[in-house]
Amino acid sequence: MFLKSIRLTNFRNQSDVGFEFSPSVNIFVGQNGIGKTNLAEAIYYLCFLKSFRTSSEEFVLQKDKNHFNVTGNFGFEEGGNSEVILIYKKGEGKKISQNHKVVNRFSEFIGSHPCVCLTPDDIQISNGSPSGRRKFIDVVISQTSKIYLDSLIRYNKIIKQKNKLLSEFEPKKIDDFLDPWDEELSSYCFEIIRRRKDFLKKISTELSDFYNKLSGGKEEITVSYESSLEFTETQQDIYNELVRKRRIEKARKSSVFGIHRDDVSFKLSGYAARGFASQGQHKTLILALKLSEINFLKNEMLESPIAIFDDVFSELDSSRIGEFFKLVGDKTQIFVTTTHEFENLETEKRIFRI
Amino acid sequence: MSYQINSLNQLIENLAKLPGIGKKTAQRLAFFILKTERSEVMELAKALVSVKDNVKSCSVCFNITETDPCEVCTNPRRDKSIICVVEEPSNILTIERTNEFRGLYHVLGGALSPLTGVSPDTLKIRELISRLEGDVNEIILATNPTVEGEATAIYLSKTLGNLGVKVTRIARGLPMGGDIEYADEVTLAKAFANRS
Ligand SMILES: Nc1ncnc2c1ncn2[C@@H]1O[C@H](COP(=O)(O)OP(=O)(O)O)[C@@H](O)[C@H]1O
Ligand SMILES: [Mg+2]
Ligand SMILES: [Zn+2]
Repeated sequence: MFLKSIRLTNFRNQSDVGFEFSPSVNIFVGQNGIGKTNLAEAIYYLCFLKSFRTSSEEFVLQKDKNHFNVTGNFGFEEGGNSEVILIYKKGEGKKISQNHKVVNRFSEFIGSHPCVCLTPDDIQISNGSPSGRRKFIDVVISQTSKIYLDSLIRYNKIIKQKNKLLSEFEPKKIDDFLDPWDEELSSYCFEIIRRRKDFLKKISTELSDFYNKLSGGKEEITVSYESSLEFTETQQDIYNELVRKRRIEKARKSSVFGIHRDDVSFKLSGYAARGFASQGQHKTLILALKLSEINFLKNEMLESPIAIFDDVFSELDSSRIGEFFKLVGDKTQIFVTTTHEFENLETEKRIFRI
Repeated sequence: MSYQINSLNQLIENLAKLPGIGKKTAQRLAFFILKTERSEVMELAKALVSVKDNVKSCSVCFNITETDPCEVCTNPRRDKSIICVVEEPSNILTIERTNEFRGLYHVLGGALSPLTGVSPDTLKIRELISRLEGDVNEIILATNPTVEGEATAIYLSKTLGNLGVKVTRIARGLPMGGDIEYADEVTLAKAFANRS
């Protein structure tokens, strides 16, 4: 899949602009604060219907305006086009249409325009807290599976209901009340863990390969799922453990076992990345992870994803960047933002001076 | 607004309390009513009051009805050995339209939801259990396929299962995350046929 063109109105500092893109590499060049990340954000909006840097459209809306628009035209490898129109109006929220049909449930749209995005903040996937790693895998898998996204949404609703019970009621009285929620929770928990492990298994070999290609070294990268639950082979295992550990949750008045507390561990030659790896190793790991993510989406979906790299190549020279683009592969359309021109970059590219 | 027309404002405010009606739509409706013939407006007003005066809930199944017990509960041709449990009276209309179900109903009055203060005691579950003393040998759980509806079904299947009655759940064939209200009749009919 590739994005042929985009048009923005009142989007951050852009009052009204349009771009026609190359199906290969597109580079936005310009000094800091000029609006490059804003463009990357707009492209991301067309795939995820939200921003990667804020959850509130208020910030995206240009100052003193009452609406913003993003319109994108995509072409599919399998044939056909998709016109995505996103309109935000102050006080009314977002409305989305695809090929002139209204998108009622955003969750049904996710995955129809696969996308991989890397921003400087993503370093947290490697050196930050577990929530960043969970979000990373959830965004990837949700694009490939409606059941996964639906299970996540439902899981989170159940956790809210369960936490209400745990926080407000006498611990002695609530076992009967908790029970149906734990049973329901265990079915989604099982489904989500199964798919998260499957994803990690599918990327694990490639992750090492990509890492060593980027670093020129010979390290073994391992990735493993670390659940807050001990037994996750079957739904019944999970349910039984939730029941067994109920007294802990009752004492803490909050739900502390399940996929909302799980983590992923990355190890470099046996050492946990978080805490041990150098800044450079973290960066290489994240680049390798994004390459694996691109390949995973290519394999799982009919369309290859588009890839957005926002301000992440400042320390690489042009030949390294060229090699990186080769690893991404020529089927994947790339958007890059940078403050400095990539001198002598041989890759076929279109440059936009912002 | 810089000027106030009291009776119009009152109408707008009352209309805006209806579900799915915002301030703008309420205004449009109010101006429409203002232009409508008096006799037609009178008919609407009468219908509003009449529904409140004449429609009550059935003391057996808690369906909405003008007679007590309701027409389903008193119909001799309905199968008294099966009770289909739903959340709201509107769910019964949807199921009746499929023409697939010939048993009786029981309306819970909602679904379990600690966040909105709905517990097993607030639902008509005790009343359902007391109906089991009759000829009932199967309960079909047709709560909505929302997380709350599912939790309610799980709670009921355990509670009723312990009392030795056969409990089945219809959910398969319904769209994920969907609502019984939105399920089309074909999928709903299939769901009844495939219940496990
Ligand atoms: N809602 C908004 N309305 C107008 N301008 C905005 C809005 N949000 C951000 N900006 C402007 O956008 C610029 C930042 O753009 P950004 O894309 O982050 O720059 P960079 O090119 O460094 O990536 C800043 O000048 C900021 O003032
Ligand atoms: Mg930037
Ligand atoms: Zn009745």
